Formats: sequence, C-alpha cells, structure tokens
Amino acid sequence: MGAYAGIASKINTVSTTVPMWNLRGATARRLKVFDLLIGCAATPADQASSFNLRRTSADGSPLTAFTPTKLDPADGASIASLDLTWTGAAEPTITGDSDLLQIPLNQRATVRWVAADGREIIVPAVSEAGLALLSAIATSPAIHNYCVLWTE
Amino acid sequence: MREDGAIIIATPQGETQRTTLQCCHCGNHFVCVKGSGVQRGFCTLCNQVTCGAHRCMAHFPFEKKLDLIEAGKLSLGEL
Repeated sequence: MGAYAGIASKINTVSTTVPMWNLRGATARRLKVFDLLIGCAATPADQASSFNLRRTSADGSPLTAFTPTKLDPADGASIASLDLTWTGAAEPTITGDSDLLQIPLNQRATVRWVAADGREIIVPAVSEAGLALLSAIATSPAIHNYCVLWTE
Repeated sequence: MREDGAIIIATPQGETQRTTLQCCHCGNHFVCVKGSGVQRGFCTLCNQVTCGAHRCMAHFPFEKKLDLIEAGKLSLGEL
C-alpha cells in the first residue's frame, strides 16, 4: 500500500459543475483519502468560502493534471490522477447528493481535515470513479492552495 | 463515541479543532454539533452513526455498496 500526495492552486470560483480538482481512481485498487488541506494564498481578507467534497462518476476530458507524488520513494507509481482542468464543457460528472465533507472557511484561515485510521474517504476501484472538490460559497473568489493525501 | 476524523482550523486568532464522525452507510464525514437541530441517525445493525440523510436510513453498509459497485451490480451514482 503506497501513500501519495497531490497539490493544486486554483481560484475558488463558485460552480456546481467545475471543481477545483478531481482525484480520479482506476480499477486496480481503491483510493483512500486521509488528509486534506486548504489555504488561501491571496492577501488576507475577511471573505467567506465553503468547499464540498463530492463523488464523481466520469471525468470528462481532462486537459491538465498533477502527477501524484510518492510519499515513500520506494513505492510504485500511483494509479490515480489529480485532474485540474478540462476541455470545453467536458467537466467531471458530479454525483448528486454525494457530499462527503463540507468545509466552511474564512479566507484568513487554513484548514486541515484528517481521517482516523480505517475511516478514510474511499474511492471504489472502478474506472472513472473519483472525488471532486467544489467551491460552494465564495464572497470574493481568490487563489487557494489545496493538498490531498491518499493511500491506495 | 469514537472519533472518525478531525478538522483543524488555523487562524491568526488561534487554532480550533473539531472531531468528525463518519456515516456507516455513505462514508460522509460530518461535524456533530450538539443542539444544532440537525438530525443524525444510528444504525443498530452496524452499531454506528449515520449522517441522517434519507437514503441512509435503511441498513446498507458502505463496504457492501463498494463491493457491489466494484462487481458491476450497482451504479457509481448509487454511492
């Protein structure tokens, strides 16, 4: 079992269809997300934002992606892909009513969510299954940094 | 009750930490706030909390759902 990290930076424009990122798995093994960090890189200001982690059932047509980094260099490459942008309107298909984690946040704050051992958020070992981080509220969209850690 | 996760929020005023619980039927993590009025549930068969969503009222363990999806007997949208 290997552990991997993915990072992204994106303006948290509110959308129910275009996520900040989509962590896409594969049929070989399950992905188990155990750590998630969100912080704002913009000038500190009192602005409200909220992020939702939701399931996806198709990844659309990814344009750019972050290649997962191995936490242990001795591990093999990750089967996952952290997709960041998509062509045209071919964004991931977000599963309705699938909120897995909701994080309200002030722009001045940095948040970390960490799962207890065995209580991770799991992506099934199915092609195209994934987890997307959506911006639900942003009183003034700004550049945010994201870090997600998972095992597989 | 056992904690399933934690949210740590760091601000210029200090650090706040809250624990999260995980629904045994959908895998959702949530912060349980006493007196918030949000209804949660408890599955006596799983002996664990549920998130309170209508679809999580019936006993259908998350692990069973994962197995059925990976076997192609349940669609991803059902998760």
